[in-house]
Amino acid sequence: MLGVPMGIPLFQAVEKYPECIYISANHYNYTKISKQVMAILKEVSPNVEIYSIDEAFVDFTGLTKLYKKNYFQLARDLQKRILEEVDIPVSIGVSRTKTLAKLASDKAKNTSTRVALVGKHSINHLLEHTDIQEVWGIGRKLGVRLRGLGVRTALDYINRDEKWIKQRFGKNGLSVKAELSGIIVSPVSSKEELPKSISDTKSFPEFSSDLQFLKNELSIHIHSCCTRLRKIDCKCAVIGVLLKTKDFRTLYEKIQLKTPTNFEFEISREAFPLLEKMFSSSELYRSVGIVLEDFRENTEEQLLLFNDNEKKEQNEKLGKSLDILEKKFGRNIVRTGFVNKDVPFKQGFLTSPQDVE
Amino acid sequence: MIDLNTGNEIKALYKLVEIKGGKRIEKFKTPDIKRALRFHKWYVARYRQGLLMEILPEKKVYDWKEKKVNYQFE
Repeated sequence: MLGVPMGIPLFQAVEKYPECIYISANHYNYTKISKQVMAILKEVSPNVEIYSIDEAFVDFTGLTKLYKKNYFQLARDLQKRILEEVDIPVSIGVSRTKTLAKLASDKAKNTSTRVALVGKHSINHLLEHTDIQEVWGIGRKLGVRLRGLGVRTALDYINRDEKWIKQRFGKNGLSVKAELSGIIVSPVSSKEELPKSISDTKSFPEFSSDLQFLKNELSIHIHSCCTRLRKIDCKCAVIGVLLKTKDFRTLYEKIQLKTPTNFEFEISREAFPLLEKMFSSSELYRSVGIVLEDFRENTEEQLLLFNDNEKKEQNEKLGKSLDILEKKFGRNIVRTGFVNKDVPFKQGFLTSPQDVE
Repeated sequence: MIDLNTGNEIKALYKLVEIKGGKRIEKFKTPDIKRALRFHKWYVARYRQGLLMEILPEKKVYDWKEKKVNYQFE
């Protein structure tokens, strides 16, 4: 273990730990592998909650009877299958609730089989050796506060009185306690919820104070966000533009739209004035980004009386055609609202989007 | 580099880049991973400074005007 802290900027890491090999990220590849793993999980159990790109909760309830195996063997088989089919080692924690399973999976990383089973009788033993900050739902600040109150381990926490917890940490504190004691508060749910916001931003290869360049970069981000919006069949009603200066100052402006949209031209028509409002030619900028919020599903849309609905339909068709074109010929084959032709393609992504399906 | 779907080897270009003051300076470029790693080792020993390795896989690009397939590093 070299002890490289999480989230350290690259230029600092390169100076501090030169022996490491730093490889540029390939998010398409990660998404691809993640989708393969999730597909296997969905084959094993009907109830799978995808928590993040590398984490998922699988409901094993009742599967012991179906596969005629115990929980430990089920997890082992799943792990073996993922290793054989995707060639990725995974660690699995099996327990009664999601919080306990997460703790068990952390524990599993240090075992030889990389599978940890925490049953009814071993919960207390696990909690006794778990620092309160490691518990899911308790962050750094809350952890420090709990330590001040004399709660060091997870076992200390569940031994506290419910009234004491409710007074200090409210309802969330109680649900953490219940989950740690083995009572399910948030069950595994495979229902995918709409995201609260979609954003896209990337640092420039070099600092820039050229408005035209900034606009082009913003167009790329707008386009990528719109593609994602259309994929989940939604429209957004709030647009925010993010601008970061060289010295890490962040400027943010947002606007509420009269009619929700998921079309590039309509979004950029609102976003460019916001960018111009924040922009100053005497400043150097490191990144620009877009944040789309307040999503409405396409089906629940309210039509306005004085709006040009015919044009709106045309726009929707155009947006869909853009997506089809990109799917067929690759990312950024069509670019919207570009001023210069010699602007580089979106950087950082190495493989083509056709692979991720 | 290996293609995850087919298991075939993909040709790729390995670039070693220095990041200094927000600028990227390309130090070394090779299609051979071993040479890239050897250069990295030498560079670290010489300058006590790390480098970022960028992997650019070869991509098939169809030229509509010429009507032929070109290969280029992405």
